[in-house]
Amino acid sequence: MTANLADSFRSGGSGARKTKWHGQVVHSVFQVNVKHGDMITITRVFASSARAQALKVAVDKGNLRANGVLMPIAAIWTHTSPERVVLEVVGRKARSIDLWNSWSLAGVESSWLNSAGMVVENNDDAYLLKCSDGLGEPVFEDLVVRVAVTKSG
Amino acid sequence: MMPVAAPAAPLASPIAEHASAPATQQAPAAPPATASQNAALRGPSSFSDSLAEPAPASPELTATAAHAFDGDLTDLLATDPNASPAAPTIDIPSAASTWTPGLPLDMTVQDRKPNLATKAERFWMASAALADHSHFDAENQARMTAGKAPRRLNPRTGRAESMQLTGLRQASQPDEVSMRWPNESVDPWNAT
Repeated sequence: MTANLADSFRSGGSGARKTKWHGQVVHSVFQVNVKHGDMITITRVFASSARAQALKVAVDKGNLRANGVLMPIAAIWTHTSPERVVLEVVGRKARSIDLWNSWSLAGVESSWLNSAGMVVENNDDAYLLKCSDGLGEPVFEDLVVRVAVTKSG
Repeated sequence: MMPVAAPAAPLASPIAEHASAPATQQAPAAPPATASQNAALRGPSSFSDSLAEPAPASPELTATAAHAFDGDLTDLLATDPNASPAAPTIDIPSAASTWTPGLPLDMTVQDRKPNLATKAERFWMASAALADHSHFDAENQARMTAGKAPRRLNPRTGRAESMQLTGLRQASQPDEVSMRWPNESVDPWNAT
């Protein structure tokens, strides 16, 4: 029996992207297949007011475009972004995006520590990511977002 | 990865020696008998008095020197009061001998200014001592206490990565330093 969620991820070996925790699968990083021109719509369903939360989105090859900015890794922060954002996948070699959650405490932005992880529900054409930040016991309600990918023609 | 060199001196050791035996305690106060001897010695010569008054020598020192010169105190004081053979050796350090959390990060120890790696060690030790510990698990707490940067496993790369510091070179206090994990993300709504 592992002591906490971080230990559970560690016991899966280096780079463990998911683990079993109290009967449910918890992800440290969740991957979704995409291609050039796809549009990723991220809707914030709930966010804890205790501290700023973020969803990070990284494309494997290429860039993402949001709010007129082109970047390989986007940080969708609760305190700066609108509740619904759209990212465009830019890059002929793009094949997938990685999604993971982050939080800010005392000006320090962190991910993948202590109780951090995501429970993912697949609802038809979208994924519901229920995220726990790294503080306190794992509670997968610190950030809840819906991620939908609209395929390009 | 944060390069952290081993310190030249043990950083975690307490300041015990200097704290428990300050220089003032090494020059004991004059006992009453010595003071009276000193008063008697000053009596015969107003010249020696005028020279003796500003001298920092303790009454004990003056009396000892007077005995050595068999009463000819004038010669002793007129030449060089600081050259007395009976002067006690008081070793006042120019700086503290060790650094401990709570002291400035850039504190000179044993006449040596800390290099950047030493300042980083001090920062982590100070952070471990101060901290809002909620950022870090027990393993990282132990690393910080030992002067090492916290680490995490990046599941995207499969590699461990250490926390980084910015502003350390100019910093004197821990709150002048920023901690950050390696991060290449951009907030498109806060991009500059």
